[in-house]
Amino acid sequence: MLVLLGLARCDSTAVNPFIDSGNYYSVYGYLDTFADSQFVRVVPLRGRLERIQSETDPLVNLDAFVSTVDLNNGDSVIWTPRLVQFRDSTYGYLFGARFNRVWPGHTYRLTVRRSDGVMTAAETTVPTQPGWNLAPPEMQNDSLLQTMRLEGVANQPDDLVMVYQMGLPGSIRPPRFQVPYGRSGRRENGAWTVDIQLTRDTDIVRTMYAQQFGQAERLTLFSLTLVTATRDAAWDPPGGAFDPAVLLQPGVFSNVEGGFGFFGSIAHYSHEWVLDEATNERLGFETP
Amino acid sequence: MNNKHLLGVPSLGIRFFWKPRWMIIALLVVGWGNGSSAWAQTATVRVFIRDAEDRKPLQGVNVVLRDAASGQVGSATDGDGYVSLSRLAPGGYTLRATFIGYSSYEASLDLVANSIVNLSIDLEPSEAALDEVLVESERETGATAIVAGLEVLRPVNIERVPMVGVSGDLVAYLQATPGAVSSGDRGGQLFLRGGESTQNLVLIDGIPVYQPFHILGFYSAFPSDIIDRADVYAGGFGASYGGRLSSVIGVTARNGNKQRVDGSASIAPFLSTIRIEGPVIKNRVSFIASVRESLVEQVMPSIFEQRLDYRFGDRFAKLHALPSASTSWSITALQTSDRGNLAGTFKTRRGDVLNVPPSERDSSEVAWDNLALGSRFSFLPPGLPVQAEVAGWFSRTSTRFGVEDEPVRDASVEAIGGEVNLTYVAGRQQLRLGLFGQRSDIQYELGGLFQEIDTNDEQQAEGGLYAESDLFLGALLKLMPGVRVHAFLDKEVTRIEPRLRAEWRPGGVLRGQQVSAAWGLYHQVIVGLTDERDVGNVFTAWASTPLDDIPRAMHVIVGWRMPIVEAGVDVAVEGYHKRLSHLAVPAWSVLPAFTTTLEPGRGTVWGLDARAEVNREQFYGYLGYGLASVEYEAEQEAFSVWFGQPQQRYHPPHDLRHQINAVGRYTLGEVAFSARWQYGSGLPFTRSLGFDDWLLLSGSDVDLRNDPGQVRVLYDRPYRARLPAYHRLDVWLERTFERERVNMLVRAGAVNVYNRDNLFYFDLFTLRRVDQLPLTPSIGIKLEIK
Repeated sequence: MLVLLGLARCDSTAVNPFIDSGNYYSVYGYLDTFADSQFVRVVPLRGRLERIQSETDPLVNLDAFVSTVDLNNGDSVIWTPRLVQFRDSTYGYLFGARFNRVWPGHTYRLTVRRSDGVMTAAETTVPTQPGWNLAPPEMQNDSLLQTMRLEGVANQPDDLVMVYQMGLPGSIRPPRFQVPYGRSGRRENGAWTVDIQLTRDTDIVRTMYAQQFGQAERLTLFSLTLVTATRDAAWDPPGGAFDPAVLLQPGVFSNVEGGFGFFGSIAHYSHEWVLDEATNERLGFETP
Repeated sequence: MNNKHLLGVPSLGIRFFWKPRWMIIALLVVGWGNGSSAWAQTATVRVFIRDAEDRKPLQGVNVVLRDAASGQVGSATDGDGYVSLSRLAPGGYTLRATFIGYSSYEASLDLVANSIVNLSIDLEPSEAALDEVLVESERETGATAIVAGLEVLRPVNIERVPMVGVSGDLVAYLQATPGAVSSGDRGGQLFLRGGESTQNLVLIDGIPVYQPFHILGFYSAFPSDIIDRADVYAGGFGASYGGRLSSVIGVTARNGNKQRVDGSASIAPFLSTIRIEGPVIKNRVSFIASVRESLVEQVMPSIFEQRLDYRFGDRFAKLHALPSASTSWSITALQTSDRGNLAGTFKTRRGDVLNVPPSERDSSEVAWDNLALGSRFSFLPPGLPVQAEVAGWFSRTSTRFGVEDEPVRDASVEAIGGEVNLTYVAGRQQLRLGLFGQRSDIQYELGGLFQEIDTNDEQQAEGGLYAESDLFLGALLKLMPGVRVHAFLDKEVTRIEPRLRAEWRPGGVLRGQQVSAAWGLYHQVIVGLTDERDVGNVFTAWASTPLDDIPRAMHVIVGWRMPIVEAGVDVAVEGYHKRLSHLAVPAWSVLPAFTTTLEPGRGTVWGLDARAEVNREQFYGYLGYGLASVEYEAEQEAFSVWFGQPQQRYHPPHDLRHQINAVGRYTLGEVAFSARWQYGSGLPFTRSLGFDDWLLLSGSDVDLRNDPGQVRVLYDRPYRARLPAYHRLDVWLERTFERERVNMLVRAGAVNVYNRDNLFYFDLFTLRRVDQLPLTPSIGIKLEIK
């Protein structure tokens, strides 16, 4: 009995609540072809619930070296850490880097390396220019619409905007008016298809013009431009929806090795065209 | 499961009779079918037996009627001292009442057809037979006297398990039994044979008590001083009990002394007690009252850097009356209160809770109160060969988490109910019938921390009837078939619950081995909501199951018991299995704001209990070993996206795989030394990969610069790790001083003698560790006036 008690007395009562899973950092960010400065949030997996509460918090010392390399041409960039205070007054690390250009079609590998050599990494391939396939305008329910098919777009565009350039006949620098389309559209036969509501949009931009420049009897529609921000192929949540309840689960919608989160890329492209005389007439515009 | 076949009439056929539930009902009907038409030609004798000195009803007295023609019939008195013998042929009989420790009673009776004879008998205690009382009592109630999950406990059994203080407590005994898992030396939760603490039905004189265990785990609301007996079903309970999935702890409180006033008082660092009892109307009406209040906050505010900030107590009173020879009436009242901070170490660091503003106080303060009131009237209806009982009760419990003036959450359940029970005795056979009903009002305010469920105020009604029987097939085999029809009115669902218990004594009634078995179906509509962030998950809010199906359990128990007379050792082994379905288990979430959204789950429990007991003149020893496996299986969407499979099997936090309890007591004259060693293998917990922040990266609209994101805990698969094992040695030395009318007991000792850091709780979110009591000395004195 005494031996049993002695043995029992010696066993450990320590609790290790963590397991080493080979995951070290969570990474959130993307490369943007429109921006010359790129940003990514780096969150080390920590052993306590609380975030960094102050600039003197022990957690403020982040052991992370962040860099990217362009796998197509070998160019590498070192990212600079910056301690930022969030809107809830807690702190975190935002890494930034200046890029001369984010190249469409190029694959970038981001690595977050700890001083002991362990590493978290993610790759993104920047979307290339889509193929623009514009159908002729057509009447539907007394409204004119025109369908644009974006060929080669991997998933739903992040942001779509129609820009209408219009003004008095003979204007040298006619103003531009934007009608946001957000994430509208649908996938149809492999292409992202957007219905451009010409009648509705021109009513809107006429009103905008009148508010800015006053009423005009005759207006010319000089051009139409569809601007799109397309996300890379991996930036596609399960089920196509950004449902927080699903995406919150670790490892879901993540392209990060040795960690969690997502590193993607966004490319901005635009396509400009003019309407034929008959369509302009139907919409009440003069043809330039 | 739909209920159309439950309310309708099933088609008859061979297959129908092979269904266990219908076989049991058939057994009930057939067992009682023959001879029932003979009532009009027979007589009934109803006997009420009490102690001639203190006028307490005596339970277990053997009453036998003999006549020259048909031999003998007999039965034993129930808890109110009654026994009714029916279907007796008219004629002359000799009635004999015997009870070890009392002088026998014998009388002649002449019964005429259609008569009911009422007798009231006072048995005189016999000094010469007192030792025999203990021997016989132990045989039926010792630690190895377990019969298909049922243990009948008497105060003498409870007192044998040494504990802090100078009086025994029911929970100390229960914690020493294999298959019982407690939340440690604080927390107030008890899990029996794989069931959860909210799946226990705890009754005092038939009144449910929802949170009956005190915040310091050494104590329940049931000190041995007020207990007459406790029927503890770790499973396989009969049809008279229902509404819970796991177990029943049915405490019958003592009636007060009807002859003279006596009482006791004790003082010890953890708890002080006063008990007083006596006649209100001599020989007819008595009272007993007990008050216990904790002293630990005053006497031992902190020990070894742990702050013992606990205040608890209970107040009990019972009035018992014998208005006539064929009636008895009782009123029982129990009130308990508990308050304390379970994370004592944290509070020590931050100072006294009263000196800091509420917002800065440690939110692991928890409190609960119980109030149970009930009345029970037993009588022998004129003209009917039955014993009848009518009871009504009210029970309320309220609980809060957080400081008193600003609780983080609070909850209450208030229930009112009643029952009518009839017992018909014919020879050795007994038939018990009953009606029951209750209405509950459940409220909670969960402070927005529970997903989907925040506030609730719901009413719930249950009712039904039961029938169960004791059928003797020959001298050695006893079957107890039963059926309970339980209607959950608010769910518009009725469930039929067949039950069967069996005892077989191949070696004879008094000696030799005993084989027992039990099988039954059980349903429970209310579930306990807990938040895993709470220290020890103590805060419980009750609610109706949010799922369509009523949680259900099926129990199977097979036991064997054997006295090894030569060695003076009794051994008992029991295997058990519980299959749980339609459970409501917490949904898994990565949010540290832990969800209690409930999802369907099912569970399987397997276990084996082994016990050995030695009882000699100076030495008492008990060794218990429990082997158990509790496994839950749940299917949740989160599992699918997280682990790749929607189904996960896991062992819940009360899955105690190995458990050892050893109790020893050596008595030398007026001095006794006792020791208790407990061992429990590690309980399951869920490890994590760590914490991170999560941002919804839906596109270029994410604000990386200003959005802090959401804190996330990166869990491993559920409950894959085990906490360290728990073990503790307690030792006690006591001396009894006996004088003519005064007894004094002094007991000194310590818990956790080798000061092991037994874990009580580990907070994964704050990495805060809270240990159970360190080496804690204690001394207590008890005075008893007889």
